[in-house]
Amino acid sequence: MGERKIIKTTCKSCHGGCGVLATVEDGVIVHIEGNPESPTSGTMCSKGLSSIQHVNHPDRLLYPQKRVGERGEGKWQRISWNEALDTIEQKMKESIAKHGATSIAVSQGTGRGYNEYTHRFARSIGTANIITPGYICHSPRLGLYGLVTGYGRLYCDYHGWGGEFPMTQISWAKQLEISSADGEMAVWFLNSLKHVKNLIVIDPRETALSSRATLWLQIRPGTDAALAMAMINVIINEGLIDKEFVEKWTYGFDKLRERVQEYTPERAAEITWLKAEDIVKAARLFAIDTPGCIQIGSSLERQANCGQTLRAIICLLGVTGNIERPGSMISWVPPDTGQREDFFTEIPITDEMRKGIVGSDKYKMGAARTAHSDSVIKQLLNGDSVVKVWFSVGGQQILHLANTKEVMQALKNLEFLIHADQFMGPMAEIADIVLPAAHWLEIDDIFDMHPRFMIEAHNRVVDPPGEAWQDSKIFNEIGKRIAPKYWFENVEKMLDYQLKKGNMTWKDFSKKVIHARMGKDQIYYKYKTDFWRKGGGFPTPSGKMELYSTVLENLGYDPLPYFQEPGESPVSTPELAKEYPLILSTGYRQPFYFLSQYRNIPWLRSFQKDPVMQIHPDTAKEYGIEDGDWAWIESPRGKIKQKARLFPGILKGMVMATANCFYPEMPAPLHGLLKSNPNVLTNNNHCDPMYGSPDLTCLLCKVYKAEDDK
Amino acid sequence: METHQWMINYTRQTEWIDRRGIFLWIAFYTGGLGGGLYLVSLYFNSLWGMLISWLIIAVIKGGTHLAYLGKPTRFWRIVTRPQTSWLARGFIFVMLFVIFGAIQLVLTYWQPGSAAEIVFKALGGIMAFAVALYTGIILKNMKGVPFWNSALLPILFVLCGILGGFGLSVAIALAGGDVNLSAAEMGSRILLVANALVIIIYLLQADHRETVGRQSVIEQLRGHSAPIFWIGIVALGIVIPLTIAFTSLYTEIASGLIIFGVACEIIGGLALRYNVLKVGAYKPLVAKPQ
Amino acid sequence: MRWGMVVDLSKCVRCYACLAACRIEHFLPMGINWPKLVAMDTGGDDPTVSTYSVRCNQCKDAPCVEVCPTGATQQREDGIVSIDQDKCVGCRYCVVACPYQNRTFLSKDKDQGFFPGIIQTDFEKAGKKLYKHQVGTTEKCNFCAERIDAGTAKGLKPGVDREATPACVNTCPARALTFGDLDDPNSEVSRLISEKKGFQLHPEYNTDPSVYFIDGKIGQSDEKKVDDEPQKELKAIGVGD
Ligand code: SF4
Ligand code: SF4
Ligand code: SF4
Repeated sequence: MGERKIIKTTCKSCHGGCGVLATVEDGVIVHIEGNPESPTSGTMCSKGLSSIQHVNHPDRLLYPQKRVGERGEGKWQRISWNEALDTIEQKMKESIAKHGATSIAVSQGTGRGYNEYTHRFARSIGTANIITPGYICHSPRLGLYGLVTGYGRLYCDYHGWGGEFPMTQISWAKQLEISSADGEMAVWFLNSLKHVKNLIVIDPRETALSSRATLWLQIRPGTDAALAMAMINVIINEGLIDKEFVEKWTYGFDKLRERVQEYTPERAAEITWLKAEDIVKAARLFAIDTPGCIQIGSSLERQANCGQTLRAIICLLGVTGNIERPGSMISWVPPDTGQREDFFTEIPITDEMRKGIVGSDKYKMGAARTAHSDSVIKQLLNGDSVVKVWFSVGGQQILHLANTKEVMQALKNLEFLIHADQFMGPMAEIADIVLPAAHWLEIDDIFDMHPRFMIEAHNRVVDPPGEAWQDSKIFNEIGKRIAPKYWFENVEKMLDYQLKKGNMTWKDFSKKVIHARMGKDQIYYKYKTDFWRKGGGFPTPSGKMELYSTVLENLGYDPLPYFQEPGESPVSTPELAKEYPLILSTGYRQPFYFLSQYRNIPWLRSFQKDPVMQIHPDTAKEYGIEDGDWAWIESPRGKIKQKARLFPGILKGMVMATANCFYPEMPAPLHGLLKSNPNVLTNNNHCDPMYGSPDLTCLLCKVYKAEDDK
Repeated sequence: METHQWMINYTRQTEWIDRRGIFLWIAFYTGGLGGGLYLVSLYFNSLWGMLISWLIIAVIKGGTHLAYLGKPTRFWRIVTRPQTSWLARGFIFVMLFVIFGAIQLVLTYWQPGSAAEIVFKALGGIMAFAVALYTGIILKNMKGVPFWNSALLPILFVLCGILGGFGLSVAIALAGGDVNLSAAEMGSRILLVANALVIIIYLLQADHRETVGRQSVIEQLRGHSAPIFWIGIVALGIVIPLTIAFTSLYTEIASGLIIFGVACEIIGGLALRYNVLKVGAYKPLVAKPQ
Repeated sequence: MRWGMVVDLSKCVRCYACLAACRIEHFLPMGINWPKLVAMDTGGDDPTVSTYSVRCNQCKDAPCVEVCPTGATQQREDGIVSIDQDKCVGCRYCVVACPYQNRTFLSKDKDQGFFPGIIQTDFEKAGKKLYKHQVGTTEKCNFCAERIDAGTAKGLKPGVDREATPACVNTCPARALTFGDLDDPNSEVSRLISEKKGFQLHPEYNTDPSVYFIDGKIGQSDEKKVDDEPQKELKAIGVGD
């Protein structure tokens, strides 16, 4: 037996954050488990544990490659890093010279932890055309919470550091426990359920938790704003508001009261397909048994009415005083190393950069710091694209953007596409240059997590395979060539730089693994202190929590929340509903996949081979579909097939399709992209006015039995 | 799909019938057939029959069962532990039968009528019966498979073996062997009727035993296994041989046809074992309240 | 002493971590899972979605032990039903006899490697050295007997000390799995079973499983809890500086 050592690191198989102990023997990882001395107390999920297979995967990309055939033909040639970097440098410089820096777009996915680098890189070379999945996942929340707290984060206080746990929790369009994205938060959430009095689950599908919750509201997809408004209606009209908070710390209460009058529980019941008495009950529970918190799911952000839906929910938190109180929604103070975002916000977006942001004229909240993805696609299709060169890291826009066929066409119109990834997926296949990236067990980096009260270290456990580089290095090396003054001698120096406010070097931090502000060091009730404002108050124009948002008013949006029907629904498009009678949501996720990742990891794939769509047995019967059948799902944009699972826990008249699926094992270049990916069905024409989010979880479709898939 | 329905509905036993499990199926059947034939041959005092039954058990039954084992070279672990289980005892029965049978055959050939021969005939007979019986006991004791939990099962297996034994005796007689044809035919007739009755009672009983037992019956009569049941067990195993057997009571029948009837009987017996193994199903691990 | 496990149906979120942890712990061949997840929904008026994380029950009166013809499957003093891979002859009697279907015969096709026909990963190669699986024998969950034995040898307590506790229990993010001594009335498992009416699967088989299940509603906690637990957690990780 050779040398055996245990390395402490941090998982990033989803957004990550669980502490990890990796055992290495003779340079091989032989064991991996949770680190009991971490905030997740030694637990890990199947994704993180299966990293062992990921690291060793025979299909890992090992070398930079360039395309030699036609785009998307699948002919590749290995090249050196030097050649790759030279080509990228030359293409980018050419494009900057000819069309300006905004002609370069930088895109990312949501995993792997490259946010700070994509943004810094883009800004450093003079573009803010950053394409991220944010606008359908989390950005709307950040932006609209930002109208309350300034830096844009409000999280459920699952920790009890202020002496109280939430008494009433609402899980709104969210299965934090298995949504596969925020593993570390799931652990805390599940732990906090020990202390909860009421759990309210709002979901068109039954979940393990909804089965045992105090109240389950089986809502019609896309109508959440009506529910929130009706709950506010009940709370105000029954005098259940948090008087002190509302009077002292909110702005525009009277106008909100007026607005919600039209949303009676009865009217909301009609819209949402819920029972009026359940809406009243939910409102009362939330208003009476405080403190309470609301865990929002990104499904709400995949709807073209997301901005106002979230505004309504924020107002619901406001009238019940569930802001900054222990056990409610908190804006955590980061550790002394500061915001991780400082690493890129220190390079400001210039007016010129801002002008060049695609979609900024329309989506004033969403396309202020990043581009509006669907507008980029439309421009590419129309041939008047601002974006010419696209540098894509990790995320596969070709999969997750709405209307896959248009996206495929659009990407072909690019002048140059670079993609960095660990495997050849559909996005890599249509690129001109593909760069091999490293896995989290192979990198040194700083992990940050959504609730921002801590950072953790990713410590390199094994070396990356072949010539794969970690993302930060890729950005640093390209950055050095194009905008040298913003980049660093090497990755370690760059990490030192990011930690300098905390008086730490990377080496110190790497040993420490976690650096956090928890427990007594957290600050509750910031609005009662000088934290945001001298003498107390919120970091808003009025100094109060704005139920009536002056910021939105100035941008030309309705300052008060309202409900709007989804772009396609039995109500808004009854004609279309005759042909496509079922409600389609494309938000089904499995706990063992992370978005489009991991279908090529045998352990994880063995848990579910084929993408599944859920449908109620009664609805299925109507359409002649039996459990286990392959079924076509068709919308006006196209059709896909998935395996039908008859599930009595889902709303009748609805289809829930598995998101982001492709088949890594199927032939290049498409890898089965069009077979089952529900974005073939989604619509990129109808978008939220603030954020540009398209309807992905509330569309119309029809289903019918498909031939067996062999 | 993989997990959702797993064990919620009725799940078939697969290890002892699917894929390599067919070895076990053949072993189980030939154990019964060989044992039955030996007993019948004792009755007729047919050396041929005894030899053939010895070959069936020693070569086919023993061979297939050994071949089925994951680690055949470790089979000695089984035969040295009779106290452990019926499988071990079964292996020992087979071994003893092979030994006693061999001695008996030698004795019958060279010293017919000797006391030793009689002793070894008795010993061989007991072992042959045990070999035919034990597989039924094994199945009967499986707690998780209601379809098998019936004392009728070992009886059915033994009957079926003896039936096969009579069938083969008829064939031996026709081939000019040392068996009385009409007695063998009469035995066949009786056993065919008894066998058919036991099968019917067995199915009726299983149908009432548990929902899962019922599932097994439904699977037999209407599911994937239905063709084997109707064609194999009912048509080939019962109706055709029975028709031939009873017709031969009244008219002279071509020996070809009788051989055909015997073949049908054997196939019927195989089909019976096959289906019993195939439709044996577990109760759902967690039952869905109805 | 009798080791047992309690699975809380109101907590399990069907994340599959227990399966993955067991695979890593025992370098399981690709075609095998020792624990399994059985998910079901009841439908009807008051529907319930439940996921049963199941594994060998280490039955007190174990049918598999009864039928094993070689003595490879045996019951240890501490209740664990163990299989000696060097003795198992691969007759599969136990596989068929286990009424809970918790045993798997390791056939060749279940051991083709993680990436059949491509390469053997370093992890697999290491596994071949560190944990012996024998094609042609039968396997099942052993309650992580290796961990229990190594841990108790060091004086640690299974179910309390991580090092002596089964891997799946340690990893469960929902804390749905609890491990401990069923014979000790003060153990966490005994307490859960008596307080939450723990039940066994198919008691009518009279096998007396050592794995119990509990269920319940979420959210009865009525007083505003101010316990010192979060602070304790903090001390454990030594942060807040
Ligand atoms: S690890 Fe825990 S929560 Fe996850 S599936 Fe297993 S028992 Fe359930
Ligand atoms: S569950 Fe099955 S394998 Fe485990 S002890 Fe019980 S009978 Fe044996
Ligand atoms: S107790 Fe150990 S062997 Fe059994 S399922 Fe859990 S991890 Fe696997």
